[in-house]
Amino acid sequence: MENQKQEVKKQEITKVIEFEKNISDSVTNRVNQLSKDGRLNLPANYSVGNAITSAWLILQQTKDKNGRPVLEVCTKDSIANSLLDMAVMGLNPAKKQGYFIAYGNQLSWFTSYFGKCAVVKRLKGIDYEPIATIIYEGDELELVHTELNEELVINHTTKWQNKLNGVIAGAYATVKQGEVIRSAVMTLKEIKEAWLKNPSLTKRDHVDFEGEFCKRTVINRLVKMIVQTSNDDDLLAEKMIENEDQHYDFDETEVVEEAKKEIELNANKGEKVGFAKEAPTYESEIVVDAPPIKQTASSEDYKQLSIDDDNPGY
Amino acid sequence: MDITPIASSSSGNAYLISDGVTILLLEAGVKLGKIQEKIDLTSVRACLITHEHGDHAKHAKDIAKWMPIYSSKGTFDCLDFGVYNYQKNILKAGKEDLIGTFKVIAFKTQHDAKEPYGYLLKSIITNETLLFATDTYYINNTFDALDYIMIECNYDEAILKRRYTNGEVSKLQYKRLYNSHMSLDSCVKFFKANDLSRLKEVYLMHLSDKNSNEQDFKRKIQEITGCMVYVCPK
Repeated sequence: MENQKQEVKKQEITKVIEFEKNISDSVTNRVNQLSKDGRLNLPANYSVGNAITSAWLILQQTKDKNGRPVLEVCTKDSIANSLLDMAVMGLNPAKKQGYFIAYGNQLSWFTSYFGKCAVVKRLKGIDYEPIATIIYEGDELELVHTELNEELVINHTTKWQNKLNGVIAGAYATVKQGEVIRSAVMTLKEIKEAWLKNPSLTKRDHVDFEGEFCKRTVINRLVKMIVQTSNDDDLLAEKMIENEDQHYDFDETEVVEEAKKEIELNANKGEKVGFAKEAPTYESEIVVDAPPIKQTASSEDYKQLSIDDDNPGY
Repeated sequence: MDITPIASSSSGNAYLISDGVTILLLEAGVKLGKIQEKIDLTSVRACLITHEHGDHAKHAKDIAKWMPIYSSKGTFDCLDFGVYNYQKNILKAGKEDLIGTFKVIAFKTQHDAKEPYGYLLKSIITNETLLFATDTYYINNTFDALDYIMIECNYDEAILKRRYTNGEVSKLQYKRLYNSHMSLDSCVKFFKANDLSRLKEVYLMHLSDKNSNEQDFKRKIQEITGCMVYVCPK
């Protein structure tokens, strides 16, 4: 019986490991195949393996709305596809460039704001990230249409007082793509409508940090337009965020040194803990002898092992 | 005092202690069935939990069906007991309490949890004290003469460093270990700083699978304490 149980457990564990290995392998192989065919050109410093490993760590802790782990709920295909989505765009979930979200038994990859900014930087001709500017009430603007018929702010004069008043009227974002300036302009009304479309946005943040979220929204609008209308060739990235390692941003030696210093400073230096010498009076309890704790064979074994140790080490 | 480790690793922790009258369960990180193999749950007086991480508190709700749970407020904030909420008992650090025939003082430990505790227990039957401290990278307090010590001894820095340079340990994990678990060095320092004159037995807990060397750890602690050292089985 015991053996059977262990056997089943063993099988379960190997199943989980194989599951991970299978999916990771198939996604990695697919990405490699795409790269080989010349259909996908990932940046040299993007490691598919690393991204999938971090994705896997995140997936293990991701739960669906009922609180069940997505790896149990979602289909194998959808897991593989969401990982592939992530890898094709050269994104990494550890950098918060996206999230895995379960809809029913389908897992999907949702590219976050940071992810979109990362993707847009990989497009040909775009060397810098998009910049957003907030328009305050009282600012003077000159709005023209570019050769692409996009709205573009060419002249924006503001006063410090307008910023101090803090009444936001709108925002615009621009990014240079080759010689052309791409731009998106939104009024505050349009921005707020966009927010209403997404019920998951936490309203509190959008009130507290309205300016910052206006910037994000307008950049989102601009990036969406550029990325989703780009032909696939452009997705062959030439440039990603400077270094893959950057998201493990901390300097580990510093962290270790700090921890050691803290231990040195605090360990075993605090006040002495002990029970009061005079026994405080407690309410009397009915005293019943406890049954002995069963010592199963395995625990006997380990005690035995300790006593018969060849090297007691005294 | 009778100490019976049930499981001790990052996949689950549970220990039983008994002074012949009261039996306490320390930690709730293993399935009920595994505890029931050792003891009838109705005879266990209470369960003490150090912090909310899964390997220590995953099955707290199941255990709350059987007995009261003691822990810090911060830990309870992170755990859901549903209808068994009434089984929660908050311990305050530094304050003496009585559970069955055990006197208990909780003290703060250092771990990346909300409000982690370690426990100092004293049986009023046998007059013996037991220190229980796991998942802490150092212990700030010192203690009166202890009879039994159950302490975490997670990793050996030399082994960890070697594995990190070989790329077997991720940077994240490497960093976290230093700020959350006890190294052999810190453990040795703990023993040197405390009164060991009455010490009878030492139980080393929560040894890392790969960053530790059981025989080496045992020998080192035995050299300092001069008494029996057990390594809790995983």
